[in-house]
Amino acid sequence: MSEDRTHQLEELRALDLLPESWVCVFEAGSLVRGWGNASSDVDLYVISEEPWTGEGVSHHPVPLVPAVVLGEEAFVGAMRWDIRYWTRGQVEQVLAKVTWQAFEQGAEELTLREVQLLDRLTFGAAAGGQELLSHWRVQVEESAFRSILATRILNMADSRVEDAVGQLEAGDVDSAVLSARAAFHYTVDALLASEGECGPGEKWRARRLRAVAPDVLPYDKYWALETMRSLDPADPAAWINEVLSVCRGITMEVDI
Amino acid sequence: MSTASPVTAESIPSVRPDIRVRKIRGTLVVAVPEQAFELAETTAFIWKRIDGVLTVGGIGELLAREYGIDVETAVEDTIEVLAELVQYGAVRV
Repeated sequence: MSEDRTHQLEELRALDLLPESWVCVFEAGSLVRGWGNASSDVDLYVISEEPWTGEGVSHHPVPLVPAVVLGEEAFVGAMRWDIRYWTRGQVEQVLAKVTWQAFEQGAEELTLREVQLLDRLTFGAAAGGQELLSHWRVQVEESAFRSILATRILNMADSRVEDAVGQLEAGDVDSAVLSARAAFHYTVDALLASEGECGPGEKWRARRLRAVAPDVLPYDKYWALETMRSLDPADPAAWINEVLSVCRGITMEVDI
Repeated sequence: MSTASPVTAESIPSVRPDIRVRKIRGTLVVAVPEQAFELAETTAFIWKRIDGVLTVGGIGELLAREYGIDVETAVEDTIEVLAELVQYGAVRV
C-alpha cells in the first residue's frame, strides 16, 4: 500500500516549514502504522543537508553534531503536525552507531530519540526523497540495531528478574510483583526489538506484539500476564514464578 | 576418592535465577559468575526443559522422543549433562 504524500511537501512549503536543502521528508508514527485514532498527530521527519534555521518550538538535545534536533508544530485542517528537523549528517551519525563493527566493539548507548529515529526510518512513508529513505531503511535492516537494542533491554530484564527473586526471598512480595512485572515488560520489549519492532515506549506494546505474533509468546498468553489476570492475592508468589519462567523462556528465543 | 553425582533420575533441576542466558546467532550461551559457555544442541534441548517441575527422568524421556534414542540412554545422558551444569553452578537440584 503506498499513499501519495507529496501534498505534505506542498503544505510544509506553504507554511514556510520546508528547508531549501531538504533531501527527505517522511511521515512516521501511529497513523502510518494504521494504529491512529482521533487524537493522533501527524509525525513528520524533515531531513536536510543544512540545519533548520527556524526558531523551533522545541529543542531536543542529541549526542551528535549538531547537538540538537529542532521541532515545529503546525495545524493543517484539524490535524496537528509534529515536525522534527534532522540533518542528513545526524542521520548518518546515528546509523554509524549501529553497524556490526560498532556492536562487536561494544556499541555506544543510543538515546531514546536515536532509537525512535531508527525505528521510524524502518516504518516511515516518504513524502519526498523516497530513494534515500529506502536506502536508509535497508541500512537499518542490515545493521546491528535490533541486536544492540535487544541486548540492552535483556540486561535490564535480567536485573529485574534478580530483583524479583531477591525480594521474594526476603519476603517483600509486593516489591517482587512489581519487579517481575517490569522484567516481563523488558523481556517482551527485547523480543519485539529482536523481531524488528524497536519503537520505544509501552503504549504500542500490544499492537507491536500482534504485528510480530511470536510463537514463543502467543498474544492471549501475553495479554493474560500483562493484565495480571492470574495473580492470586492469596498467593502472589505463584504469579511471580510464572512470570519469571515465561521471561526465561522468551529470553532463550531472543536471537541477538 | 569418588564423588557421587548429585543428580539422579528423580532429581528436579532448576536454573539458578541469577544466571544470564543469551541466544547469540542461534547458539545458547550461559553466563555464570566469571565464565560463559556455549550449549551444544542436546544440552540446549535439556536446558530449555528445566522448569523446576520436570524430573531429570522426565527430561530424559523428552530427549529420547526428540532424538529417537532409547529412554535409558537418554536419561543417562541427561544426568551427565545436568551434573556438569550443577558443577558449573548454573543449575540446582
